[in-house]
Amino acid sequence: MLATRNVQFAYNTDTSFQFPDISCANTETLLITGSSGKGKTTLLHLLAGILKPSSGNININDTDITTLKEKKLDHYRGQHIGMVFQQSHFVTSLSVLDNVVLAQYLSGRKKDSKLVLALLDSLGIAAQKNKKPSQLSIGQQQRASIARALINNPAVLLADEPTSSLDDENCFAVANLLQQQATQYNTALVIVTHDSRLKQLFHHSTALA
Amino acid sequence: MIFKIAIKNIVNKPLNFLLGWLLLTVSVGIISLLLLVQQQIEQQFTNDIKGVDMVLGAKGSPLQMILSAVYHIDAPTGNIKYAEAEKWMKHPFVESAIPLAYGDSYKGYSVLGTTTAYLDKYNATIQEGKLYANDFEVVAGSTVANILKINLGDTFYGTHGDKEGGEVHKAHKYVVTGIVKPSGSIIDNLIIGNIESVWKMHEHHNEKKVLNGMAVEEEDSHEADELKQEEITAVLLKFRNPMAQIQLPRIINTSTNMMAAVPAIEVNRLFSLLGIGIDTLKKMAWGIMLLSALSVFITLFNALKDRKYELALMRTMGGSRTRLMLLVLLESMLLCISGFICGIILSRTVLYFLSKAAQTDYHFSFKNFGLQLPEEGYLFLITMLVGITAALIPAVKAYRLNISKTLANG
Repeated sequence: MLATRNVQFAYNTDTSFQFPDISCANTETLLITGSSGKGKTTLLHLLAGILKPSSGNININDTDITTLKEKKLDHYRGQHIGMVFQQSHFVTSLSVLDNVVLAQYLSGRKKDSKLVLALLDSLGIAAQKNKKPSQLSIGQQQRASIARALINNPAVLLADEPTSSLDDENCFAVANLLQQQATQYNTALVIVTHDSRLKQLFHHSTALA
Repeated sequence: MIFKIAIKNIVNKPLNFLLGWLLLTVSVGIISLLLLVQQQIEQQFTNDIKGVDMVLGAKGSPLQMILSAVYHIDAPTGNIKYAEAEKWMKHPFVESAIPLAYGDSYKGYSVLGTTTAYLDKYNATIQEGKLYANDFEVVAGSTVANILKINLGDTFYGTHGDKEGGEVHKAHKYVVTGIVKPSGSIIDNLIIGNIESVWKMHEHHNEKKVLNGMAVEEEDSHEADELKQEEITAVLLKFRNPMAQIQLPRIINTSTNMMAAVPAIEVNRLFSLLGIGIDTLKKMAWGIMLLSALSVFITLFNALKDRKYELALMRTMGGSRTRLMLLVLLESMLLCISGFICGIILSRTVLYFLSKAAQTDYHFSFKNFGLQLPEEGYLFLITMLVGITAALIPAVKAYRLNISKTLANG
């Protein structure tokens, strides 16, 4: 469950944003659209606690993350927020499996490679577990990053342009996968995108102006 | 896990880290080698002059006389008359005096004629067989016995001079009656018999030119009386009284045609000469270490540019600033630890070959391959400090990384 109220943010006096209130229940998908420069990524970073709003509240499962201190916030983020990015980045020297295990480790949970393997399997990339992320196809990389975002069973899954660099086929596959996994994991899914293809799939959306 | 990432990061891009690691290995190797060599040479040299306050010998270079009489790594300065030396050996200031007669060798190892006091001075005991009792009986030092594969009862001819291939004294054969227990002193590298053997060896040698076989035997019976006319090479003296150390050498050097030298002074002179070389090498090694620090710094700094996104990602997964900083520091320190260990191994490997070469050329072997504490402990700490210093700026950069900006630009 994610809800925001009166969130404002300013990089400097010229660039400031006032965001509409949004809310997204578990298993729901919220699409945030808007053209470049409207603050899509800024909002996503605010929701992830990577940026701090100048005012307003951001509640994730009854916790107002704007009140959390730096270290606690890092910890909270690891435990309750999963993130998927446009470009799949990984720790390049680790295998696919270890990259997901790393997410468990950094969030402070027990390392459980069996659990990771089961998730990789359900995403259809179990065979790639020992490969380096760079050896995977783009579609496989995106699946691996979804696995990484979901492994800690987060309350909120934040996706930043997850499909922009994919062709139609992969775009719909990834979008379906995200939604399906979000439902399965009882997670609120927020997708920030300018990819109009996704509007056909998700109807609950907010446009930034 | 952080440990695993740090190791994998290094192993995955070995070329990036190669230069820093190599420089560190070489600098640690050189410093550690110098420590080992200097420490062991000084220890060995100081050990061997224990109980020798003064050396009496023929005029020449005092350092050469010490190197030959005490360490047997140089040619003797000449011979002195035993009768003349005896006056000083019986001087009231003198507590003990050990006469040495040498100049012959067997396969490059000195054959030394002396009294049993010489063996006692170095606490040498017989490991196998027995001490020499008669003329031409000798005991072999442990290293000599090992390298030349000498066994009890073996016989050999001595060679004139200290080099192989000199004139062989065929008149008498030496018989090995004992092997000396390893003592870590110069004795390990010597073949030792009584002085008379050395005298008779040369007596015959000289007489043979003028006398036939019968006469030689006759000559033998007279020799006991004539011993005092014989020559020795040097005398090792120990004084009763510290005053003697100041007075006797001066008196001997000015009033006789012999030379007296104080080994402690000569050895110090040698060390200070040696020290200049060692210090220069050490400074060079520290310089190389500084370069390695710079190289590690540049590697980490450059790697950080490529890894920014990776680090930001780790933050989004819940990794704290401190953890990222730790990761960068850990990488540098792992590199430095491996450089240190390889440097230590390198120094021992070089020392092993150096020891082999020194054994053949100077009959000097390095036996201590253990860690040199506390010096190498300090070296380790300094290496770690180099690792931390090199990683400091990159680590702080990782700590202060702006994740939002990095992710947005990624």
